[in-house]
Amino acid sequence: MGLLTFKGGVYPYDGKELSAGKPIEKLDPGPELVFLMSQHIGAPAKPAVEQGDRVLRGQMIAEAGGFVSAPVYSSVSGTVKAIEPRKNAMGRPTDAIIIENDGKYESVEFHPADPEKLSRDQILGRIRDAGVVGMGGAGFPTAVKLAPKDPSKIDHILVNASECEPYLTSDYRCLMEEPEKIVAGLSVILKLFGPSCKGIICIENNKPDAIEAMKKATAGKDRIEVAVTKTKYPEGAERSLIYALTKRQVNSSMLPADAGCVVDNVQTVIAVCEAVVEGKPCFERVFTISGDAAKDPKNFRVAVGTPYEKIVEADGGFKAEPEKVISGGPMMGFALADLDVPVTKTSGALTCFLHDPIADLDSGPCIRCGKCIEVCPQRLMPCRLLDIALHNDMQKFEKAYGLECVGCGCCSYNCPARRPLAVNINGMRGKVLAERKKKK
Amino acid sequence: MEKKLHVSPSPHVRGRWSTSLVMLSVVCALLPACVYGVLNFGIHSLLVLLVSVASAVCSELVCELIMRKKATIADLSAVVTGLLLGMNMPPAIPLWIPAIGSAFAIIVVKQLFGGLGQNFMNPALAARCFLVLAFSVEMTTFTPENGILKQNFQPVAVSEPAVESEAETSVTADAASTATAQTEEKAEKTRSSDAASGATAETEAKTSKSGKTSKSGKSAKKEDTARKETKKTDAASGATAQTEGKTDAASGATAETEAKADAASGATAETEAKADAASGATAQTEGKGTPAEDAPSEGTKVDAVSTATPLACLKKGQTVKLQALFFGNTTGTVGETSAFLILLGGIFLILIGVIDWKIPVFYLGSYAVLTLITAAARGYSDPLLFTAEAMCAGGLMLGAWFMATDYVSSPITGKGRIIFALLLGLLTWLYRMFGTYKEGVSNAIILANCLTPLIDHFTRPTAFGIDRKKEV
Repeated sequence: MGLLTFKGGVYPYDGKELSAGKPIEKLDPGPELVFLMSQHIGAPAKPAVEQGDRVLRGQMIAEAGGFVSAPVYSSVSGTVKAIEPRKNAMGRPTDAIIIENDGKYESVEFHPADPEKLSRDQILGRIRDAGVVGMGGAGFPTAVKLAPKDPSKIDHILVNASECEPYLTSDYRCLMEEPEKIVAGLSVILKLFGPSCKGIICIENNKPDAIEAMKKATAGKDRIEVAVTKTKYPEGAERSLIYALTKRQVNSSMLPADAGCVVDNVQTVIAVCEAVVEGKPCFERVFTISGDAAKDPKNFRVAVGTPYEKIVEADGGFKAEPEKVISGGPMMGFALADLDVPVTKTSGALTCFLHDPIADLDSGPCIRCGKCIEVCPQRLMPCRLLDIALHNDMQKFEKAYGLECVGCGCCSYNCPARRPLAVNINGMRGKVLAERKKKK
Repeated sequence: MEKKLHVSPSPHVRGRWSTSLVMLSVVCALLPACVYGVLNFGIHSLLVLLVSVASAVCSELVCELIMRKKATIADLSAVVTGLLLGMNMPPAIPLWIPAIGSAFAIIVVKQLFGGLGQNFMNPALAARCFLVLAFSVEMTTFTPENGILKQNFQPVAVSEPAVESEAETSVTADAASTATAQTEEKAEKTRSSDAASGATAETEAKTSKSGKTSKSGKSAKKEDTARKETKKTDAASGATAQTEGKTDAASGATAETEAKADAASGATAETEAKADAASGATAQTEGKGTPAEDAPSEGTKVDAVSTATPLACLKKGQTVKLQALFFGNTTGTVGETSAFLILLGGIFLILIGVIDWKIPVFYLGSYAVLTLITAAARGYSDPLLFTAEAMCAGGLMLGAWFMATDYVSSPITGKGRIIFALLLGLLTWLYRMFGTYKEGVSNAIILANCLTPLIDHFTRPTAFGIDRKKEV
């Protein structure tokens, strides 16, 4: 049988060997933590504490700002130092609660529960209250995702363990170290849906030991399977993964639920397990620091709110001064202007390069090679979309399916003329969507 | 930190392909065929290639200087254009012709339309067509010098030991008899090869008794009204045969050939008075014997190295030596002769992912099928062999692997490329089988190039997850 995959995609150097073998280590979050109010898609959370308040580890410091939103919990005990805007990874100032760490890690009491005895609404409530969001990067509130209009139509719960982004190994470490939590989390999620719904843990074939570990952990669970997908970027993109597993196609005006699927990242499933079974809210995650500028590429369990600087410090500083530091992986991550940026629920890695691989590249004219079309997982014509975007022709852009772009960057990656395809197409897509909103 | 961090939009890594690397790999893939051409045809052909490339690069540089654009010769696209044009030149062509051709390709076809990526047809082919029109004599004269390989060209027409002919033809195995009795009424046309095909010859090659192979030229006796001396009479290694028979000078092609060993129509005895099929009645040629086709060989001795291109022979329905054609031991332009080396280069490009396999495969495939059907319909004795030979002859291989796959002038979508390639197969077949020119590849590609925008328009892919039927 051929490996499950999708059409298109690229094969960048994955750099995973740098940090894959390093077990998850603890990390001291440092004296000051920054909790952004927008760590998820949807309305920002509303601060529930005031300057000077003492907070405990696991205490809610901001409540959900709406239905599609999520509360934020403190990962340390200490005092609220300020509530003020701080930069996020994209460099945009967003509201944040700054907490001074007292180093005592005094925790609130968590209330474990037996998921077998919980009702559907209780499970969803516990997930919502714990502030669980999609930890693969999108940050969509998980409780909302797990409560589609018609739960009976969902027949696939896909646990996304593809980790197709180069250099990242945090999901892989979770698979290796916490398989039972993943199975427990997935079992909880399956309880929310009908008996015909099955859970599939999707792992790329470059992680054979993780596949083995998960197969062992899922043995005897008749509703849970392990699926092996082809190692290719962006295998872990939601639409690509759904297609690879079910051959169903999802477009920009659909939700995965419309195709009978719910896709959750591995770490999200672990967070669900912790929220429902242990009653522990979401304030930690596994994080990779890697790249050729990292002194010792490895995986940390980091507290949300930890500044990136502290992670680099804990790693022993840089090998030499890096030219580029990316929050996330090199394909979709954000290049940072400085390290004064906190970890959020969705940040998965810090990739540090001694030399910026794209600094010296000059973009030239399109030679019509079609390499962008070959690799586009959305089967678009990026070269054409770029021309349209540069002409700012919104109608044509929509007609050429520009809104279907997922921003994976395969086109830019593959373009021999080094044209800035993804960035312009994405920008244009944002413009068109903003225009649409205005009209409504 | 002292150094400022670089901030740029994702992705932060890029694939290995750059425009110049793509062009460089194309040059590398072309080199074997070029080297072979130079070894085959001599030092002048090397000069042809060099002049062609140099002219292309200089034209590009000068053009961009004048237009105050950034100099882009480093992307090597001009080198590819120049090299391809040089490979399309007859080996002995005066050097100023490729120089003009390359300048035309770069200035008129490429830069005037906006430079790299904007030319609507393949610059090298457009220039070649321009040259064929402007300098038709020089561009169709294939009088090769012998290169280092010093090989005796094996060509061209090997009329098969006339199976169906009557036994009068005593075909000794090694008898190399070239009996061409072409009548060309107009002397000035003698070099434009297939004009000669209008005239028919009747030969009854009864008397090809040549027992010896080499250089024992038996004089060919001919009755011909328009007899001319061939220019080259040296090295008559091909034994010429005596041809008896009347030569019908009527150039209308109605001449009946009783040709028992008439090579026309691929060794089938009867020739349908097809204008092109009935000419150049060669008896048997083996090894060194060739039917002089360009210079209608009315001389008593026929040059061993004829200037006929294999294609011209094929057009007349003659068969040629497949092996010689495949490996390039034949006449032709500098770079087109070795189908084998071109194939190697093409496969190399496919394997490293520079060109799309769809274009050459569908192009050659459709052309082969059409040719096979035609050959069978025309009653050639071995349609398969004829097809194989047609595939290896002329510029088809070079065209299919390196010209049709030109990024800029071929469709960009997968479906479009298949349509484009099928169209090329059809056009090439039409040109070659029914056209007046013997070569159809360049015209076919140029014509299809013009249709590329249209093909692209109608083959735009539907985005993932979009059901086109449901769309308004």
